[in-house]
Amino acid sequence: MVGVGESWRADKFHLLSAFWILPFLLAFKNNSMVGIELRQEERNFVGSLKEQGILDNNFDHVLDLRSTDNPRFVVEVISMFLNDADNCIAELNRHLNQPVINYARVINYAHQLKGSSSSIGGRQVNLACRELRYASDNMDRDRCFEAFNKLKDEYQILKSNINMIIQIERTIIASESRRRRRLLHP
Amino acid sequence: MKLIFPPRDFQLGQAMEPPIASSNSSGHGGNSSSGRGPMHFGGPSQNPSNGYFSVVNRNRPTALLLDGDRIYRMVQKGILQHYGVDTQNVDNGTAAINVLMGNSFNLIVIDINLPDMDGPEITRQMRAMGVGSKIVGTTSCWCERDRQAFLNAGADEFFEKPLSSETLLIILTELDGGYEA
Repeated sequence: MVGVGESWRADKFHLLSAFWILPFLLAFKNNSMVGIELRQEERNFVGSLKEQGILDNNFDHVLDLRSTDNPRFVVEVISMFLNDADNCIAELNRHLNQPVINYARVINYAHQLKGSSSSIGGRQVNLACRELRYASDNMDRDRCFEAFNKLKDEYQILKSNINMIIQIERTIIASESRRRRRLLHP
Repeated sequence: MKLIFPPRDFQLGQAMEPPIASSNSSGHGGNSSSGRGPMHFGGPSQNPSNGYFSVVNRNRPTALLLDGDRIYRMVQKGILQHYGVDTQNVDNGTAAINVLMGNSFNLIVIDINLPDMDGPEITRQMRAMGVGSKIVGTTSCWCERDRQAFLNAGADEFFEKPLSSETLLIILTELDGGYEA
């Protein structure tokens, strides 16, 4: 399984078909086996994203914090990140398109997005935010636009890929929930 | 470097390795401490077969995490708690001051950018209140000017976020009140 990027576009059909197969796997196979296989698929997928530089090792911390007490931790963190990042991007777009750019505000939003993206291992977004921050420090309008366009592109790639991780996590959570119910009510 | 999460009932003990040099997570060289005095600490113990680090603490330390970004607060709190640090989050300087009125912490981690005031300013206020905790300033984008501002305000260390495993191990081992090699 490869991530969304130039190399992924060629494999888009195979990836989508893999997700269509998942419900049938859940219907006909042992639930614990599906959970194990999905975890392995998730690990492989995260590994490919790290190879492409889309994620770094900080994402492993997010996965490691998942527990039986809080199985939804990954889903919650990624969902919160996407919500906050969408808002940051919208605010950056608004401020950068003002006749007079408020660079202090741009720096604040770049700082926030850099911090949250680095917390979840969003490597390329992190680097793009750094460029935007430096451009804003220098009040370089053209460089700000260039950095922001790069940031938007990298964010879309990250967003597409971590949305897939959310889907895998939700499938695993549903599978494990069904397995627990079967154990309680044989 | 993968985090090692000790089991929740792990026995407290004493790290036995010789001290290791302090370095910040951004990779910028040099010791980022304020030079308040020599730091004495035991290093983490390393498993020679897999290279993973584990940390044990003599006491269960407490930490106050002050950051405007909820994602960072959520993940960093989770990591600190897994290392056995009782962690409380606040998202602004005023709330932090209120918490410190009735509580003390071994470690306070403060971001440079807060909604109501900047990190160095809240650090200055904490020190003026008599807060003697170890204070670590953080930023999402390293800047020497910000580092100096934090250290001049009374912070002990300054790092780029997120805090790496190596950086956390150094900080937590120091909180253990280690020993000279």
